[in-house]
Amino acid sequence: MKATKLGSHIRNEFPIFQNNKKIEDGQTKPFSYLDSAVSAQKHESVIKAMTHHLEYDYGSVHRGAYGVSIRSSQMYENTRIKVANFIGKSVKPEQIVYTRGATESLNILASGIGEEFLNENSRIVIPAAEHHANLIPWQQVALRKNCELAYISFEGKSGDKLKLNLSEAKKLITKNTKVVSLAHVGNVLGQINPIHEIIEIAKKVDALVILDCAQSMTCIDEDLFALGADAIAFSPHKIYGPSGIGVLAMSKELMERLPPFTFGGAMISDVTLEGSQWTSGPAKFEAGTPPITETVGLGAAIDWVAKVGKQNIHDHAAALASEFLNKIQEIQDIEVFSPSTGQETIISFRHKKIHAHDLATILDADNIAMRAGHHCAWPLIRFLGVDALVRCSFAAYSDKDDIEIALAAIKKASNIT
Amino acid sequence: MTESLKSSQSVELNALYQEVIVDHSRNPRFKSKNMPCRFCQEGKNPLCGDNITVYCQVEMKEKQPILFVGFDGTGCSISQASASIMCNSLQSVTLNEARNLIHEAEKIYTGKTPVNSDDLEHDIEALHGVSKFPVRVKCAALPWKTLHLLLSDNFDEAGLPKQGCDKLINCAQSALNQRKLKIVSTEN
Ligand SMILES: Cc1ncc(COP(=O)(O)O)c(C=O)c1O
Repeated sequence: MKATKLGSHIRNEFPIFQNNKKIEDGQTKPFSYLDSAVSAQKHESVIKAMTHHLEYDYGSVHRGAYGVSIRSSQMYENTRIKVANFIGKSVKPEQIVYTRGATESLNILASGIGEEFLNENSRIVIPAAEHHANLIPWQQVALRKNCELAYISFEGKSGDKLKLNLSEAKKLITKNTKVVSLAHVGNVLGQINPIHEIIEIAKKVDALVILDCAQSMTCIDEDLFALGADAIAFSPHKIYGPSGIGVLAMSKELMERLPPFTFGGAMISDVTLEGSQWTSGPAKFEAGTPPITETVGLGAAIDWVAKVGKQNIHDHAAALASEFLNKIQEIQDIEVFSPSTGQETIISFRHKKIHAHDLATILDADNIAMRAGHHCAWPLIRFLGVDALVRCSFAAYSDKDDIEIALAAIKKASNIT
Repeated sequence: MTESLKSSQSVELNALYQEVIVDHSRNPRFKSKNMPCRFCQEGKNPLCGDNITVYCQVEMKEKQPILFVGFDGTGCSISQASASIMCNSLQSVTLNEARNLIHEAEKIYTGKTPVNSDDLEHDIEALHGVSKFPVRVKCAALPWKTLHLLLSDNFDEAGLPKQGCDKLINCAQSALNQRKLKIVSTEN
């Protein structure tokens, strides 16, 4: 395998590892956190920035004429600039909306696009393998608007044959298709979806393209808006930042045309008893008191990821994932579902004789955190013909010891149940 | 158990996956897809995807209902073993006996009833190992909670069975998506 690019010092910069060693019978078991796809651990700079903000600068944003509020507002807007740069050179801060998470970002999009772009003759196209957060909102909009919903399936069931079916996508993305929404990187199998091709197909019929980048923001360094995306969603908690905040980036057209999703303070330009008017720009979508300290944490997370380099983080995690994949395939009764192009950072598998939940509990006894279950993608899990999978995902702080510890525990598991 | 684990956590893991549990999960009793039944009830753990259908056949004996409980479903070894143990203990029992056992089981898998794991009198006691694993308690609880729902929905205050559907398949219809989605595929 390729040598990994990130040094071992990185792990020491994540306090969680220091604080979760397990000492048992005189033996120290390091914390093997292999569930970064669900949520990443926090870099010390993120924790420090948030603590500092709470101790020195906390105030509500855009509401006070006093010091802490002014400073908090500046930090809040400063992070918006960082987020825009982080997403791509072509992106402006006015295109960035803070939400409560990728889930809310996708709901704002689905609901707003439904109102503004869809009628009963329209069609929505999404892959059948999406995370529920990019599936249920579209189902609900299709019901409300009584419009068509088409699902793109996978070719193949596992391994390298498993790909989004592009020839089917071409047939499904018809002239009446108004929106195509898909994950950049799949949260269950870790496959990198062919977004260049999908964008090209969708743009031929002038459909909007939404990218769910929850799993790809630290992986793939590409300006998706320059490629033709109309909106992207992601969650800072998956890029070493805080939970409770999400990002929604939209084209200027969507920013203007989409109606607000939540109503209340901070999103209006005038309110009378007869009716109200909305502000323009991101504030239209940021009703109420937003996440504040979280934006400070997000800014710190972006600074750290940018310093280390998205590509370096990706290469490091992908090299470990591919080593894990090669080795786990040799264990008896293990069936791997993820493709093995060497670019994945998520590996999903199952043990033919041990249910995923049992395996996760057994791994936890050795201080290994892996996710077991349906991974919020029931249609995909059914398509694969299983009832649950175990998912092992790698990040900047993962190392080769994690792999060896996990493999040893998986081998041992056959003796327990 | 082929390997003996030593540390305290391993002791707990051994208690979780003790022989009785492993045996019931590998060879579940009274598990079948099509069970003749008077009542059935579907149960799910939406967070982990485990699902179960509990069936209940009822015979009347001296004006008293006598219950026979079976199940079908998929899930981890704990939920499967728990369901199998439950059904194994609930053959030819009265409604009160069933209700009492549900109550007893809950006290065991939540750790409220102490159990001497070296000397189990009944299979049901093997569920006590779960109590040390808070996230797995819901796996053990699923069949019992589902049965509890079945009993409270289908027996009246006098303890007599209501009409019932007598269907062989699970009759719980999900209320979701009552309005139909217009799903299109390349075929249409
Ligand atoms: C692909 C994908 N989309 C959406 C989400 C939802 O993100 P969040 O739970 O942070 O709103 C996730 C998180 O699991 C994800 O992996």
